Amino acid sequence: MSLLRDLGEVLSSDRILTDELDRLCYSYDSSFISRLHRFSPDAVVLPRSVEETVGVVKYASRKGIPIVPRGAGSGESGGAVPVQGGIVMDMSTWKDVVELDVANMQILVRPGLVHDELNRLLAPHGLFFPPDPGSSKMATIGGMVANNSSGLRAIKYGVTENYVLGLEVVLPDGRVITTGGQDCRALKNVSGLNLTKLFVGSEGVLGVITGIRLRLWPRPQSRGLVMAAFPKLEDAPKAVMAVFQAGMLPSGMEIMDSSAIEAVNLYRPDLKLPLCEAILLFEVDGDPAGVAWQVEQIRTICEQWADEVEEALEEARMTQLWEGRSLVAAAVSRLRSEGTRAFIGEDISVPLSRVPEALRGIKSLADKHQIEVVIFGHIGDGNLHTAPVIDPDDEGEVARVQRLADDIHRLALRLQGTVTGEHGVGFVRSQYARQEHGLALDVMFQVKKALDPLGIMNPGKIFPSPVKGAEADGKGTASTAQ
Amino acid sequence: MEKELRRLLNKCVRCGTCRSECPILAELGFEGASPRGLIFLLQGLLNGQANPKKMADRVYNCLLCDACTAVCPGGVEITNLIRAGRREVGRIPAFGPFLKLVLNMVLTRPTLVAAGSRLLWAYQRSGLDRAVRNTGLLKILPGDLGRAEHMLPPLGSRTARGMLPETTPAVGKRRYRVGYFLGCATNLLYPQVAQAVVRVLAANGCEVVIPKGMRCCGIPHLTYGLMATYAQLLRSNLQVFKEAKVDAIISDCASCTATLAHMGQRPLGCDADLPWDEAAKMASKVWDFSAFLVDELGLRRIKRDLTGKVTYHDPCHLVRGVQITRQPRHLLGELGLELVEMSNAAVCCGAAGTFALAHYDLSMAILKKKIDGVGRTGAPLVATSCPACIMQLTAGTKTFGVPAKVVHPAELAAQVH
Repeated sequence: MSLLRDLGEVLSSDRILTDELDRLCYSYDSSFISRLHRFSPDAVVLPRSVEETVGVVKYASRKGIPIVPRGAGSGESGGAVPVQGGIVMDMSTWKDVVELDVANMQILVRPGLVHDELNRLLAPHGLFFPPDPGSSKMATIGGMVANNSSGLRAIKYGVTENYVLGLEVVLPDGRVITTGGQDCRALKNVSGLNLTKLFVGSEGVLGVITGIRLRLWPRPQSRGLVMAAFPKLEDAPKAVMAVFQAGMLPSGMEIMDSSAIEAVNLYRPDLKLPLCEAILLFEVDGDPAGVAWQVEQIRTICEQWADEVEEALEEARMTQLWEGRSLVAAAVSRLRSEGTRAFIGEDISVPLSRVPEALRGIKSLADKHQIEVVIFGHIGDGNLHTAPVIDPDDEGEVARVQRLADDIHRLALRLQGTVTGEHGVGFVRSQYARQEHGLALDVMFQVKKALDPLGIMNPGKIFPSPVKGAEADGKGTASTAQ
Repeated sequence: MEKELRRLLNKCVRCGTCRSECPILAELGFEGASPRGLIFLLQGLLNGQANPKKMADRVYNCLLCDACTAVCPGGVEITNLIRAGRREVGRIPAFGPFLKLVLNMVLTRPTLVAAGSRLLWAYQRSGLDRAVRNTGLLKILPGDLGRAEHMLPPLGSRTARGMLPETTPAVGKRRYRVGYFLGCATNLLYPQVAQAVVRVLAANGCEVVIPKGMRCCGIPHLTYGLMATYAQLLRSNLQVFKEAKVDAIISDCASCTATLAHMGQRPLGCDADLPWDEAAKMASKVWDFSAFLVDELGLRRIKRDLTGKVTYHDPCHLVRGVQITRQPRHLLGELGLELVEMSNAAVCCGAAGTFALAHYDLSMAILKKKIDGVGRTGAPLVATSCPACIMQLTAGTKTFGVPAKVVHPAELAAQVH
């Protein structure tokens, strides 16, 4: 109860949760691992000001209590899960737009603002924030920044870090800094070490992000979709390469395998996706004439391998197709009546030239472990999402799916890729950090230690456990796992 | 049962898509108030990790508006699971025992419903309501019942059933023989809506029957997890419909419409042995009033005599329960009115049956947003096809000072017949 009393001096009691049921609700995100274990926090706070955030951080720092920042909890890496207990900071209700500066094409927002809400409020001004996660309806901007998220349009527009001009961060000692220039509104700024990029993607291990200044882009006048149905899965990557070689850069290039197609059809029967081994969904945007030309070119290219090609230029049909693809991740659960989709091993990214190998590799690993796997993802940048469908009550399947995920992660590294293209390391992928980063991991850990010497910020994430052992040896090395 | 619940709960992958739609989460903000949080806690209840006593407050902190279920990519039947969870929990918080008594003993008997209505009428008519408000006696009522008392509209001395004949002949040639499912709320609170429904149906060639033995559709019982009583009501109504030999069953109430339209499906958590196939056949005859008028009868007899702007509120049970949105709007247009859409037409108004009686402040906060939406349209009329929504929206327009009159589409249609 003392936690409640102490925190009560910082923020109002209706924004401090210590009830057992409430705490349980912060023990999970989308990750499968949070389904298998309970990681309840000791308390949850919902700050709505910098002062409140500072107050909580200073208190936690004094007491040595872990702090876990959290957005909508839609992550898939266990990043927002309090694996070592402590205080979860639910930032999702702090969602103000501090300032929309249309003339300078930027906006300053609080971390809880939801991606879709942001783009809806920007639309009337002819602007948008281009990264487009499938979780647009729930993902918060704070969560996107912390994980350096991207999504369906990364191929053309890049990832979140490309749009962050500056951040307001509460450091673990309670200091508040503004990165990217205290008062800077310039769109270009190379002054000083780039602390903004350090915090983007830092998954809450360095501080609490309380303000985000985003660079906005002009909303393209027009867009168009091409959907191509391939009888053979391995022909889809050929079409992708051919589109690049023809000098085009679509704003989205998405792949769905036969099971993903089936799942989308179950979720949105009105979409009537053609049944085949793979569908590629291309989005192009820009001026109307350019869009029409590119749609035509892409159609011609795809027709070399595809059975069926659909051009979608009507807004309603495009929204339908795009939404169907966006939500396939969870729709996969519909494929099996007593099963569900497990978010595990779901975010590898491989070099473009090795996409066919990765697709084949994942399928054969799934066969080996006898797990049904659905594949979809951002084929244009080699980011493949694998979705195992399992019965979570079947211990055998649960064990097999974990082995499968491990194999998929190792496959990605073998193909000179990464274990995570856009979801983050969190808790579930930290074991591969040494193999992926080598000595650089130690430098990362030194940075972490410099900013968070007490190790209270989101412990157990990014760095392989046990990090504490590394601290004890005084050398600042981040464990020797892998 | 537990196995089935577990299987359905397992479907949730915790993606959080439901967070974007939940009116309760939008107000309260914390995860435990979200549909995903509730599903997680229900899993905890089955696993013995969540205390059933504490869970009672949680499972009732939901409007059952179905907005989450409608967007869930994984196909989790969130609303049905929460209803089933209410049965599992057993206890109804706040004024539970009182409510259980009303639902099980009064609402199941039409004569007691009429007697209760008469008592309430006397309470309002005698001025006792003002006296009770002034003395602060309302405070002794359980839950938020006392604070929500002002929402009750002025009652008539007679219920709709007391005013309308059992059979109303068709005007002109009889085209259909329809059963009018006169629901509890319309019967007690808005007899003028019932009169309008009968008038419009008859004017369009329907012989309208209001079967005597008809009882509550059972939605309050489903809502409170009283599955046995629900099954009793369903069995009885099924028999009544069968004997009435009607071509169609018409309802003016979104909640009754959705409940009846789904009566062929065994609700989760209901293990009663009922003739579900027979119920499904009967369910296929169920129509929303506007939908029947627009899609089946045609609007031949309607004159475009009305003028001015109107906005339409989609009751949850109509838009998500039976996917009806087009027909009431079409009807309003055909009456000559100009439809101005509010941006939040399909968002719950916060009425949700008796929700306000236990969560007054929350219900009012949700209502405020709805009324803001109404206000922005500038329309002097709000039409909606549900008596509970009419009551809530009427209270909202008064409380938040938006000069719009709330009506049922049938009342407007009756004006031009």
